[in-house]
Amino acid sequence: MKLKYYVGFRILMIIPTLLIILTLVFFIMHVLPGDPVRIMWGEEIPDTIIEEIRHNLGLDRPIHIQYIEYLKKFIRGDFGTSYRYKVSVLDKVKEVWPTTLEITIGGILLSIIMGIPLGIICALRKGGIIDQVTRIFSLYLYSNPSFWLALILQIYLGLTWGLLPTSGRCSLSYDIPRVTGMITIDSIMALNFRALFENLRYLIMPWLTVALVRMPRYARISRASLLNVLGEDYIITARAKGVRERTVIIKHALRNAILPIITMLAGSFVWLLGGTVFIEMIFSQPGMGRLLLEGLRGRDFNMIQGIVAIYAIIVVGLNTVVEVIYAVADPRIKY
Amino acid sequence: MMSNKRNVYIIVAAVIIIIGLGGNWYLTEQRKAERAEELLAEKYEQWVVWSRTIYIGTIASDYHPGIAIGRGNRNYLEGYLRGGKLLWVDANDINIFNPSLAESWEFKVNSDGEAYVEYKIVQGLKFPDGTDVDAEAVKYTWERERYELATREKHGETYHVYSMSTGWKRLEVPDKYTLLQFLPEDNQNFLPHPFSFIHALAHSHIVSPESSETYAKETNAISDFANQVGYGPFLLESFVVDQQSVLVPWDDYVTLGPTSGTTGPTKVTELDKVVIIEYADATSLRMALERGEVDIVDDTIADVDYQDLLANPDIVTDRAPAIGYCMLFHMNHRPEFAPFNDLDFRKAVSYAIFPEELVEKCLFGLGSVADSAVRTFQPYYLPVWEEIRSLPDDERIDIAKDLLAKAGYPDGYSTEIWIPDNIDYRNWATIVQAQLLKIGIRTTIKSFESGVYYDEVRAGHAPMFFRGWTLDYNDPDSELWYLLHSSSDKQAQRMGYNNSYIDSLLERGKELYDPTGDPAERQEIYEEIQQIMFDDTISIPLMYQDMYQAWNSWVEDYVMWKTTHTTCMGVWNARKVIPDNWETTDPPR
Amino acid sequence: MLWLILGLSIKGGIQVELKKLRESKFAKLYLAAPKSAKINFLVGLILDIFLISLVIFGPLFAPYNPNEMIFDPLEKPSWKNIMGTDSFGRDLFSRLCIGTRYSLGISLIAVGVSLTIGVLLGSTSGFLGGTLDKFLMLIMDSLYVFPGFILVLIMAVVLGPGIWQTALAISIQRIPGNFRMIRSLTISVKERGFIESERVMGASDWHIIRHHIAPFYLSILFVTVSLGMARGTLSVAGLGFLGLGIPPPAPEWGTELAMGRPFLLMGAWWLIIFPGLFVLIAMLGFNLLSEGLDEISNPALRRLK
Repeated sequence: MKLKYYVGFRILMIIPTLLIILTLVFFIMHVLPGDPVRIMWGEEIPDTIIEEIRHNLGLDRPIHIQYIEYLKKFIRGDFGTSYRYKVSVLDKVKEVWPTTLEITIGGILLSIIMGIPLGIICALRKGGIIDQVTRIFSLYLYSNPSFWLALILQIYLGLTWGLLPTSGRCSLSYDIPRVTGMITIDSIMALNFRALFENLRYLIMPWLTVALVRMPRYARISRASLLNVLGEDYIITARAKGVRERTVIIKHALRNAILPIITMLAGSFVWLLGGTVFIEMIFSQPGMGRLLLEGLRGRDFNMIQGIVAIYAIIVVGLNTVVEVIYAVADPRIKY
Repeated sequence: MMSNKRNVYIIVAAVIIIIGLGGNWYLTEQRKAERAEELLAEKYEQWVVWSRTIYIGTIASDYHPGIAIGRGNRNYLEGYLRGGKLLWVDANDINIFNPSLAESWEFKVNSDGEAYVEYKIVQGLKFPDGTDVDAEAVKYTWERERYELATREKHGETYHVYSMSTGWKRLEVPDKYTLLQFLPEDNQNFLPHPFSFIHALAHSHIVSPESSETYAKETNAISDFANQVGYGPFLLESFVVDQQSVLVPWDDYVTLGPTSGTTGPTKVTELDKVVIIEYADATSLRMALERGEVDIVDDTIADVDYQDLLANPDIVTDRAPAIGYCMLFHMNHRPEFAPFNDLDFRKAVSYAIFPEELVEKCLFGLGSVADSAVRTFQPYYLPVWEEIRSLPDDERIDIAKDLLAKAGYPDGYSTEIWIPDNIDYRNWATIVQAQLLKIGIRTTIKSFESGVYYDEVRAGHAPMFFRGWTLDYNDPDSELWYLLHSSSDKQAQRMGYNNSYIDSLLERGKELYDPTGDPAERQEIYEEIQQIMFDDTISIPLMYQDMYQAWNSWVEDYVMWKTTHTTCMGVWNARKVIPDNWETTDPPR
Repeated sequence: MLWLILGLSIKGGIQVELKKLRESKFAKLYLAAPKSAKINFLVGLILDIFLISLVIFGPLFAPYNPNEMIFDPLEKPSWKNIMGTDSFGRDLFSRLCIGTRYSLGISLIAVGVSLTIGVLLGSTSGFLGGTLDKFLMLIMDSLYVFPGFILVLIMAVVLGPGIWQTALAISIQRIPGNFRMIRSLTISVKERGFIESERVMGASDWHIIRHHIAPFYLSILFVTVSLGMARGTLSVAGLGFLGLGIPPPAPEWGTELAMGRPFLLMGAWWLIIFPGLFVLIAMLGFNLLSEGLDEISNPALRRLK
């Protein structure tokens, strides 16, 4: 199949995939016991009023009609209004989305910075002391439950040694105008470096938690990938030609070793979207994970569906991009 | 010759450089000194800003600041800072009602024989948005609370349920500052019982009709309860849901004499801002308090944290005993839940449950054992359960086992305890489960998500469940009516209890209420009711919860209210003191 | 329907002959493996055996009844209570021991269910191909791309608390992965063609299964189960930590962790450290085992180690 047909096909496939996810979640939601109206308004309101509210929200219509309405609105980009927050789901998500993004991206960056160089060193000095120690520690770190690690960091760094604030999104003493919603970027854009420094302190522990758990994978994959590439013929050829070792590593080996790392990146991102729930809970960061949790607890259908839809879009989009990159970058891949 | 010249040049260059560096250094030192002074001034400025902002910490709940003043949400915090009511329970004496937005209230009967309460609203006040505070605003507020949505067609419907939002049949506004609250049919005999004006007293913060209608039209929100403007000492400046709300003092606020009780706003506030910050859980909240990130926490901090904070010299704590919830343990009296309708069975359970353990392990001592559904400080309190609870533990268990056998279950029984999805209920249920196991009653704890729980319990399906009640006014009727009267769907109907004799006693007790002094008959009535409650083991009172609060020691002139759920009202009068070591430290925020 | 029988036979239990076969081959592989792989495998195996014995013989290990509130609450670890007591006065060590049953048990059920469904669907899809295959692939792909824990979370809330419900919630998340794996395996075996040649030579179906197909599946099976247990245990603990999963008074590790949090600031560090430690040991055990097995069974990877 030609490349552009393949790319087109992959992009087209996004639609049915999305549809299936949305449908599944929609029907699961409506199977849920628990009436969101009753939860919102409490138990003292008489039933007649509850019925009325439910009618106004359209929750008493037959389910297939609700489903069709939902799809129609989705296509228009309307994710509905959250029962709990009384604002559009999209607005609410836009509000908290940068927090999750910041934690996720920062964490991944940190794990890359920590993990890949380590992996490269391990590959180059295979069997050496660094390699062995890394391997032992990797397995240990990677087996840690993220919520436990987060708690321990919170106890020691935050409480016992008082180095970092134990929870919260950012320092409230600085009024940074919100541009992207991500505190670090906004602080830089406002050129308020004092604020940046202060606010970073709130982010260090979440980032560290993410990084410590993900780093082993990056170290490992970069090590394995590099070793794999180093054993290839063209490397031996290059060496035989007398090319400097450094060039061999950087120009030939690393370039080709990158591809699996990119897949890993996409995978990490996806995993993190789901995994930030604990971090947000423990460090009191108002992000998507907490939003989802609250939505689930309160049976806020629109919110849950909205968040799932957004996650689905991101994940499917990301996967498609990765597949396309692979197809383009590696001519050996058959499609 | 050449080298000499070069040397001279070098020397000259060196001298110039040295002078330049020296001068630079000197100037830098001077600049540094100036800069240091500037920094110090800046720092002081920071501390001043800090001292004029109070941060209150609370735990996030189903709470939207935009609708804080209306009904339908559980967080009382902001409602009290931004809203005003017709009358208030006094801050220090639960028996006193202070007029606020209502100057007076009087019970009357009109020519048609209808009983009503006549309120006279204080004249000449205006809401922050400029509209008048008048009887129409009160009517609007009360009616909207009942109907939740803007459907006006429901006027005139009579509710036979004594619910907070249904304590009136209709409302009339004969003139701008007079409101007539017509009492429901079944309530005609109960003037001048506080129950009649419970609505004015309990929850409703009067809102400006125009602000509520405007916001609704602008945002097309599901509920047009958003962004109400009330008559309170603070205004809402901004908010981010589930994170924080920022309140600023309202300059035109008129302190209405004994508004909000004797510790209400009595002076112009020294604060510029009050920020309410929400935390995800009790641990984060406590950490924030100890680090100084918040100045005051409301009563959502955990019992265990409060007890621990007693040892912290930087934290001030205060506590009001037995003012919080009174928790009871209900068993369903309906025949399909046999053998719960067997007195011996219920008595067995009553002997087996040790509320002391609940108070110790769940409340951490921030409460006391309840020996009656009536509270210790209420009139006609009779500790009917005290006797069996003062028996030695082994004896209680033995008696319980005997009673169980007598009821026909010598080998025990299996049933369920139903709880909502809430950590406190879970803890209580776990302990009660262990206690019942000792006499052979095996229970499974079934937890429901809150909405489902309400529905199921209201429908009377729950076999065993917990139920709490807060105090609205200082009369035993406040607890007992909702607990036992057959019309009450709060507790009585949920446990399927229906006794016409008790009904008649309760009604008579309510009728006989006299604010100038109760007749002796009333004492007999309520003592009899409590005795019957014990003799028939209608329901088992477990414990009273205390109200408590903690704040950092640099907050001064702050007083915790001890009579009802009016946490943090004292913020208006409070101020923060800049610590002595301000030069060397940074403000916590 | 050869493939269905295949799936069922593997799931149904390992036949003694298969075991022998595997072991002899396995023994060869094992001895040829590098030291690190052997260490991983052995350490993992030991830890897992320890954990499994906790599951089976839990009450024997536990010194006290995990639900009896007979001690003083919030006691530090001491000779009497080696891991201290919780806020109700129950011995923590006993609770965590019994908790193993829940965490591992649910995980095992989840792995079993997801593997069964995965094998059934995957082998059918791989063998039959066509529209059924494409349809199943589409559904599975959609589920597969989901951020893992979110699906578990939603299912856990939908299904409610309880042992079977939690197991089901976790298994649903693992099904697409298993499905894909079995399907691709099935397809690759199908394409190899030696099945046909064996048939031509007159070998019986059973013989083919035993000697040629089963080994493929089995080496993957153990690694999958091991990894699945690791992830499953983590999910169970995660759900417990969030308050979903199994209702009280079940002493599940994650639930204990969450319940211990409010007491952290009072200095009750044991309520956080020990439950987490158990999860860590379980994870280590299964991860090590799967790592070791992976290395041993696939000598091709050894070049990289």
